[in-house]
Amino acid sequence: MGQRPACSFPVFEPQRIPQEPKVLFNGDHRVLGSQQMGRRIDTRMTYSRQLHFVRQFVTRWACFEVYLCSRAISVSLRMLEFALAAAALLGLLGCQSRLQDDAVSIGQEPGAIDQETAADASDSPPFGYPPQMAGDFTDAESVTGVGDEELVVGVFVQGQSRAYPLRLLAHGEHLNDSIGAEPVCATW
Amino acid sequence: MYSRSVQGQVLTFTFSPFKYLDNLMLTDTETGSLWSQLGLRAVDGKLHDRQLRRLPTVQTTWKHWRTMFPDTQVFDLAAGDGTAISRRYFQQIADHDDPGQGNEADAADRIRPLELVLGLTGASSSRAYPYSLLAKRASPLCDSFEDRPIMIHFDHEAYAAWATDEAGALLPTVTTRWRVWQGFYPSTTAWVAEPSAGSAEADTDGSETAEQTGTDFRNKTPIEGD
Repeated sequence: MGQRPACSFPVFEPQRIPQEPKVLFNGDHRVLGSQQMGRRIDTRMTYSRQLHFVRQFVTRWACFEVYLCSRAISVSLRMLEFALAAAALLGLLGCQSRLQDDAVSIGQEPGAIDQETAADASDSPPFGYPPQMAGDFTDAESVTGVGDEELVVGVFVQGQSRAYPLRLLAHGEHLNDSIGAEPVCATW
Repeated sequence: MYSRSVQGQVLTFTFSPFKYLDNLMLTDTETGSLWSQLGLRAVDGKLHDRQLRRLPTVQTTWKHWRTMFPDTQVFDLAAGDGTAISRRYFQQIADHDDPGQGNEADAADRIRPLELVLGLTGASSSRAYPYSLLAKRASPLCDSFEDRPIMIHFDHEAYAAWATDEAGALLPTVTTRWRVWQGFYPSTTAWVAEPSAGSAEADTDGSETAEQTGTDFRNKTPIEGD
């Protein structure tokens, strides 16, 4: 009753193929009609995700700018980086204001996206490396962890000799130390 | 190994994310200046063009260093803390490197790019002593650098080289690869042994009067990287 008769070949139901809305670029809602609300929300979320990554990138870029300033890289490079960062920031502000307008128009909190991105930007890694300072040294007789064939960098300063295993220097590439009155930096 | 005292100011170094000519650069936390290790000077920052002072060092095995300086101190590590670096590690890298294409006569005195050299810098010149050539000669090797007599020592068991003056005091040297050294000091001279026939004889009679040749590498074709 009401069942389709068995047939040997697959039968395709006729389906209505939805017409793709004209979208100028991803996130542009202006050409969409009110009957395509679902599509509109989808594009807005996609745009939000893109904005999130852009803001994360700009935040880390700004941190890198501060790092470059602190390390006194050449002025021309800094000016170029600053110009690019400022342009990106201005563009971002423009996008954000338009997005907030759109969010208001569909009844969402304007600050919701800000809180989301701010929580994510807080875990940006800090730049700069802490200096490694030397700890305690032991005499040659009481060494336990350094093998005979292990390579060391030995230094002889002011009548004192010290050895730094390459295994130690390979880990952090440097070690700040003082031998007598002579402050030394062990590298290899 | 460098002194942290630069013109009366004690600096605290840390490594920077930058490399120059395959050599990691340092930065100091006091002024943020960028320091080139092998170039021995600050290349950027408040202390631009200030000089670093290299200290007398030897890169060798712990057993050999303990023999040289029995009353030495050492930064002790736990046995399982990291992987111990032995001379075999460097040898494998150097052996993996291609000695280079070209005619055979040129390849005889050509130093392989990843070969270890003992670098010595003076007021106006620099010189490199390749480990592989030092290993074929009797130790110590008497040489003169900037009108000062020096002695180049080589320990075959530890495969380590170091330089002393006449009185036997250690001189500030650095052990690095030939390619890196040549990059920093393009006008360096390199001590090269005589042709293979002569080097074998020098080992047998142990004479130190063999002729030393300072080869200027400025006009040679640059050695390509990896």
